Amino acid sequence: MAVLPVVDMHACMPLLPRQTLATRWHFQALAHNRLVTRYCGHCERHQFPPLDWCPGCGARDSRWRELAGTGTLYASTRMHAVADAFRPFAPVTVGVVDLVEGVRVLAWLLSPELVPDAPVQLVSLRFDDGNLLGARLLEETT
Amino acid sequence: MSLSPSVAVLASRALPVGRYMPGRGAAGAVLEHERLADVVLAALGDAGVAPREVGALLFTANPPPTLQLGFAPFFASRLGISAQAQMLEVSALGATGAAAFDLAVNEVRLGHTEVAVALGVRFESQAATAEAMAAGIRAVGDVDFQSVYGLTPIAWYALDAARYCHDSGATRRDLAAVAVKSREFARRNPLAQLRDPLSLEAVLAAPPIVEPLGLFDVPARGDGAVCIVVGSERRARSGARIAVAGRGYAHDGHHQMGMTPHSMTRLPAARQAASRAMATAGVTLDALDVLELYAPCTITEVLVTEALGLFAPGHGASAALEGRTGPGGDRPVNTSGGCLSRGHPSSITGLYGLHEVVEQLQHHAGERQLPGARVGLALAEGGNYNTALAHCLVREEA
Ligand SMILES: [Zn+2]
Repeated sequence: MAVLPVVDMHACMPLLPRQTLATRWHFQALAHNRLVTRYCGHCERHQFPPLDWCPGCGARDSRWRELAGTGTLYASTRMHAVADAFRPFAPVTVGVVDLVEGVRVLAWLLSPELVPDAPVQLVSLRFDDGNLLGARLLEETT
Repeated sequence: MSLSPSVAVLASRALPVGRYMPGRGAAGAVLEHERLADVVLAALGDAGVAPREVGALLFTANPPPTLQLGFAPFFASRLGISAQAQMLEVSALGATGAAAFDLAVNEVRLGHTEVAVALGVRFESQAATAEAMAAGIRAVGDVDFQSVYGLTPIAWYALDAARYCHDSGATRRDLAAVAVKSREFARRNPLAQLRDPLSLEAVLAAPPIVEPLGLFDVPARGDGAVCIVVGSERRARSGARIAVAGRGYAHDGHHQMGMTPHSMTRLPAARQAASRAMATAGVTLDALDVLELYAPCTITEVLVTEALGLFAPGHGASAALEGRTGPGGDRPVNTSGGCLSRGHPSSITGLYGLHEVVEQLQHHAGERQLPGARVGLALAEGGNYNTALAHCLVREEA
């Protein structure tokens, strides 16, 4: 049971994701600062984004699982040129994070100086109307 | 196992990449279809083909600012073409131009027509940048799980650059060399959008756009139009013939970064598509004289040259710095000036790449002509090189 550290953003989400019957538990869990996604009950592969089927083996036995929220940074970029909705947050640093469970996610980096392979902790970026994943250096969390 | 029956490029024409899109309410403007008509009529003239002989028109789909929808039948009627075989507007992200060419070649190969035309126009330079970026982030990511983080198309390449520099020890200076040598080629290309001299220092001093990439590591906005006429062997005119000798397609199964950890800098789809194109043409990497590789950013050219096997992993950037891929180098790449300096009207970039290969193989490339060019490869891609489409063209002497 890993509750992600929370960072309040004091703003609305730049864009609102659509929630479906197949994905809504992910969004609802994130609203409670937990990261859950689905895995295949047949071949055990994790999926992110969560799906109602398995792209690995084709089975339709997707189950929910909570993830620890830790991993390593694969790469990041600080974006100075952004779409309008992101302008209040620019420059925005986005990272590709490989989680310990073998799942790859995007996150806004709270520590822009992080270099690839740095150990990171996911955090919950709490906006007024939803949440995004953030990430920071793992040591910062203790 | 070369492709048969044989299809040849009969003619190719292109507008210099630039800013043609009129502002709102501009008087005396020249519109998309008028610019495209100039190019098509010139190409058909070169090919000795009358409009009524064109059996298939394969358009690149127009960008959102284009007011005229139903563009294909609209345009065909303006030129007096009644396509008896096929008429489509094709869309495949960055591979769009190559896909239009691919389908045009197929129409001839399948015997549906003796002459087919791959063509496209892109007017977007006056469109609001914010709108283009808002559409861009939806084109290169899962709308609900990735676009919400704001990654733009060039930001994905920036991620590649960050990882590549970390793995290889390459620096911004190495990447910048790609921008400099692209400009050197573009200065020799009358079709290029950016032809002023560009120094390494200027590239390094430019403002950051998506770190580690700066202003000159990423493409400018521009408009353009291209028309390539292909036909059966019977329709080729006397003299050297430019045969469409091979093609290859590949998709690596990922969408952008995929769901699981894996290398984002190896571009397996690029390698496979190019290998298949070369295999069908019966040529090897060493035989390729001309390489036009879809590469919107400096890092992209580095990665795709490595994926093709031109340079060892981690050495693509230093190859540019050493001058190997530039004018006079032993492995010239993107002699047109590429996306960075020739210009990058994205949906027709694939056609511009093919156009450069044709000009080189026709030995009409002027100051940037590669002596004795005989074999060329054009490669286009969609979505961080998750998909790739390659064509191999060969000059056959009469
Ligand atoms: Zn499965």
